[in-house]
Amino acid sequence: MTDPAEPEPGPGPEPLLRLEGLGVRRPDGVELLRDVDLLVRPGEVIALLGGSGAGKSTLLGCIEDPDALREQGFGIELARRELRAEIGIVPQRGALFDHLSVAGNLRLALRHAESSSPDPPSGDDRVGDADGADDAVQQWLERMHLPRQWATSPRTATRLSGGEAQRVAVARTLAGGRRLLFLDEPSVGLDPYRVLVLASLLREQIRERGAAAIVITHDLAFAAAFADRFWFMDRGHAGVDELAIEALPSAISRTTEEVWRVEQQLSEAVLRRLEDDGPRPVGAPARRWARALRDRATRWLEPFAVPVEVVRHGLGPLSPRGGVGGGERLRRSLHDALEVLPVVLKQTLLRPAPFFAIVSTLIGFSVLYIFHRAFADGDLALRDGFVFTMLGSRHIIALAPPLCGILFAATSGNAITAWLGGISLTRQSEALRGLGVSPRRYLWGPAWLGLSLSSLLLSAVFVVGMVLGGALYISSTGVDGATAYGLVTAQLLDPTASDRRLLARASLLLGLYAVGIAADAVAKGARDKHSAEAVTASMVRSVMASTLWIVALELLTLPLVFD
Amino acid sequence: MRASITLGILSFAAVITAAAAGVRSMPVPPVYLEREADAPGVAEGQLDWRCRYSPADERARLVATVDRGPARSLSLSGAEGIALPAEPLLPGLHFVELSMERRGGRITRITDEIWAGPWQSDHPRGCDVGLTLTSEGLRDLLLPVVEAKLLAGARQNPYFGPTSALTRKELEVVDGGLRFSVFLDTDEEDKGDLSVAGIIEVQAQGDAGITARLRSLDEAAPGPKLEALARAQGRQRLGSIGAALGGGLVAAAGGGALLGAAVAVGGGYLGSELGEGVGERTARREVRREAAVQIEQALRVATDALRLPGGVVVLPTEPALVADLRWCSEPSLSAEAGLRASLRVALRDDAVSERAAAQAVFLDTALPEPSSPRAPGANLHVDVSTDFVNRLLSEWVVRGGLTASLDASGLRAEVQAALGERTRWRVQALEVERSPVVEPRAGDRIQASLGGVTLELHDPDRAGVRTVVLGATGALTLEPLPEPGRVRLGGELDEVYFGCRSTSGALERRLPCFSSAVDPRSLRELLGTQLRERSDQLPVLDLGAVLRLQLFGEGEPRPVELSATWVEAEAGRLSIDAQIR
Repeated sequence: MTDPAEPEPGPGPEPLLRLEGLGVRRPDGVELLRDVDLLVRPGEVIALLGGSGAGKSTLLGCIEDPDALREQGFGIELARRELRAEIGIVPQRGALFDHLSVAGNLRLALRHAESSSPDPPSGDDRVGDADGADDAVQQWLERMHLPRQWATSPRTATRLSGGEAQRVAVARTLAGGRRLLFLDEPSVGLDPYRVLVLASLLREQIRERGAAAIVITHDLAFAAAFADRFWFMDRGHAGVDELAIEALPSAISRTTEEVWRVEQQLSEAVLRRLEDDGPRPVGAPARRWARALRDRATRWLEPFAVPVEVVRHGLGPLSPRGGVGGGERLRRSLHDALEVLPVVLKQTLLRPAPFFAIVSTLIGFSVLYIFHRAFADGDLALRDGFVFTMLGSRHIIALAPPLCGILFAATSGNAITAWLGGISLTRQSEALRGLGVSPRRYLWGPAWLGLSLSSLLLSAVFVVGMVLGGALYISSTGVDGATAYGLVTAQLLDPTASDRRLLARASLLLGLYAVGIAADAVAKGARDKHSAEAVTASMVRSVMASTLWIVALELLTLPLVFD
Repeated sequence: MRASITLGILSFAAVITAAAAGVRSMPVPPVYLEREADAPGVAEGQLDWRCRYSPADERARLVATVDRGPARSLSLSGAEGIALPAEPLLPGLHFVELSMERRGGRITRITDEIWAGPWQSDHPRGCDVGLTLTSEGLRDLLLPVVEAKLLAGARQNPYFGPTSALTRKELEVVDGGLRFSVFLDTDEEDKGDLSVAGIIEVQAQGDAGITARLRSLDEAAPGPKLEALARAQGRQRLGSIGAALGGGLVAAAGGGALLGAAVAVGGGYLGSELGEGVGERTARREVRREAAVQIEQALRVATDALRLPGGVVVLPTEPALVADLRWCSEPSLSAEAGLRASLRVALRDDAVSERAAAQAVFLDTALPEPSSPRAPGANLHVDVSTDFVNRLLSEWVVRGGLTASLDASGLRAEVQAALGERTRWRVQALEVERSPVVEPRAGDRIQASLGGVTLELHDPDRAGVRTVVLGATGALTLEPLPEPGRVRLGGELDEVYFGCRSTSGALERRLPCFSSAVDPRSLRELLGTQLRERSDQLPVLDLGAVLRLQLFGEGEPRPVELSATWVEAEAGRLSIDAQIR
């Protein structure tokens, strides 16, 4: 095994990254890396090459957060890990945050830039200072050869071309004070000319800022134009090889000929290794099953962690860290929440509200219709007034929590599951982590809180709808409106002592459903997704889980009311 | 993450546990009205109603009414106390209702009963019955009796024989007595004849007796046949003539009081003396004179015409309830009004009767002077006092007669059938604990209130028991039937009250029950409809039997035949007119 970590030992700037004795084993038992040493110095640009499934992303994950991989079941051995720079991740196609504008993406990064940020463009990137933030955004746009006016225009990130998105993504990462960049296939979808331009631009920015980059790519032309070092992950002997390239140009911009020559050497080296690259033995099935069982159990229990994580990550920043005071962190948290909450409320409250109103009105109308017809028209021949008085608003108190809960899980909860799933699928969450922003705080907190709030508000809409539907039906039998309203709000507004217990139980359930469904939706949505099917599966699971919980809680809490 | 999951699960469990405990600990105080079981609710004629109400914090929302009258202001005291302001309260049964109307027309209603005295155990009743029999009625009633009595004796006598007949029979009421005139004759040649006329004076004797004595003998003469026989056969053979004659006349005089079985104890003596006197003389003139003297002397002896009967069974269904009849005021005979008498029905005291007296309200309904019948063709008028009626009702209820009657009527089974159709309730008992209270009022209305009708319901599936207490007010109706002297009892409901009750030691709780499910007005309509539709199953009153107009009972008492009856309610009494024959 070659040792790629220290090809040029000797004096120089402090390395941004030093890993020693790295060993990685996948959850299924397959060994990916064994006793690997890695070293990255400022200004270095490294292309990480290898066959599909070689473990390139896993390697970057090891560098970024080995504990996270351990939580996923990876076996990680690491003798030494020194990281002297914040890691910034630039996923494929940039993974710009599509709920924000271009400027918003940059502002988010600027807002979360630590004080150790190497070069704040204007010296004042605080979001609270709108002019300063706009200046900073403009400068970053300028540096990436992007239009300055995007700093003030509401241009959404979804309307950018691939190259533009990549440049904005790199700018966002660098603006966030990240000095060790992980780029994933940045050249995907770009024509050869733009690949060279992008490579040149990125090299310039990285060198200027004393940063470093590791880029995962299968595009050897881009690697040849961009990288100074070339690592190859060899599945055969679980190592990382440093590919030797003759006469590698050191200038920021490489000519077409230089790029072509380097690409030829890379092609030969890579193809030769890939030919010898065989599949690794699969681990013992029993361990996979055990892992699957653990995964399933974790998936079921994860919702319980959401409120805890939200609180932990929401309150955590209040304590000073990294030179940023608690007040400043609180301000950032509030700003983040205000940035995400409108999106959450729009999806979970405003859009489903008419649906809730219509459905609840229909249910309120239908329930009274059924009861009335059953008792008044049947053999019982009860008087209309008696039927309505007997029912009062008990059907609302009894039905609103479960029906509203299930509807909410199927609409608003699913919306958030899908939204978070989409964020994961488009690797925006990865990008977020790459900016040093915890998705648990930035996304989970507002999503969970917003969803819970929406649930409570939609519950109110649901109750009002059922009241309205019931009053409409009673009115249709010839009862005046005020009396009808009094009948369907009887136990709601004038409860007896036993009614109060019924109401308390309903309130308790509505509260539990609100936070529970929100937690489940966030947990299911926030899991990393790698396919659209995974997103829909998480949506279905979320509704199923919520429904099961609702049924269980409805039954379990009945003794609270009826001995 | 695992730590967060663990913490989350623990937090969830803690929240659930705390919230569940919070919900469970929410107070759900029972709704009830509680008071001492023996609290009368009335003191010295004033409402004195104090109870405890739960839940106490809802006392301010209660609306209280007495007998569904205007809402009364409740005064709150202590933790749970409520009280109604004092106000005069008439004797009888009263219903206090506490209701709380909630939003949506829900009503919580609790009913309590107040039994306001005084009671008959503390106050002697006045006259129970007053009656007037017109002169014509008395004559019509007595003439057949006199004839029957005289002929029965005469036809047994060898001097008159089986073909004896009254060829003259006259009876007339005069002030203080009866004027009579009869002539006994026979178709057989060897038999006698006799003519007697005079006035018999009738007077009360003691508290239950009546005496008859001859006031004047206008005529007492053997006819030609008897005179001849007397001369021919001497005194020994005439000994039983006077017995036949005197027994009939005295029985007629005593029976004029129309009460009880008369025993003509003086008849034998009278007849014996007459026969002996007549037999000693043989001359025609002497015979006539002597007969007059002997008859006059015999009838002038005061004779116990009758005694008001004792040991009378007052209610046919309650043989243990025995009474002695007593004069309440001296009976009188007058040519204008006929016979007038007031009676007291002295119930023989026993433990049960004492209880009945303690539950029978005392309204102090004094009967007026007996008045003449008003109905056309009526010759008898009877007034029955309200207190007596209430006492009889109380005796009936305390002795279980009403409950037995309800059981016998199949009402319990019908209630069970009605409930069992759609509910789990089973009727364990249907009892009437307190007697109805009736009060005839002017305008032909018999106001009636009924309370303490309990329905013990049992839910076998949930081992639940409920005691439903029913009450009602309304009017009793007496509807004459085509058969003379028979009236059918009926009723019209004014108000229906119901609630539940539980008793624990000295405390009694009144609970709301079915108040959301059963509307009193609807229940009243339902029961009213039932009363109307099933009126043919309601009790029939045989006035002839009730009044016990049984006359001259040497044998079995004979009910008087009533050819027509009119019943009215007047203030404080039942007024009955009848035509008897």
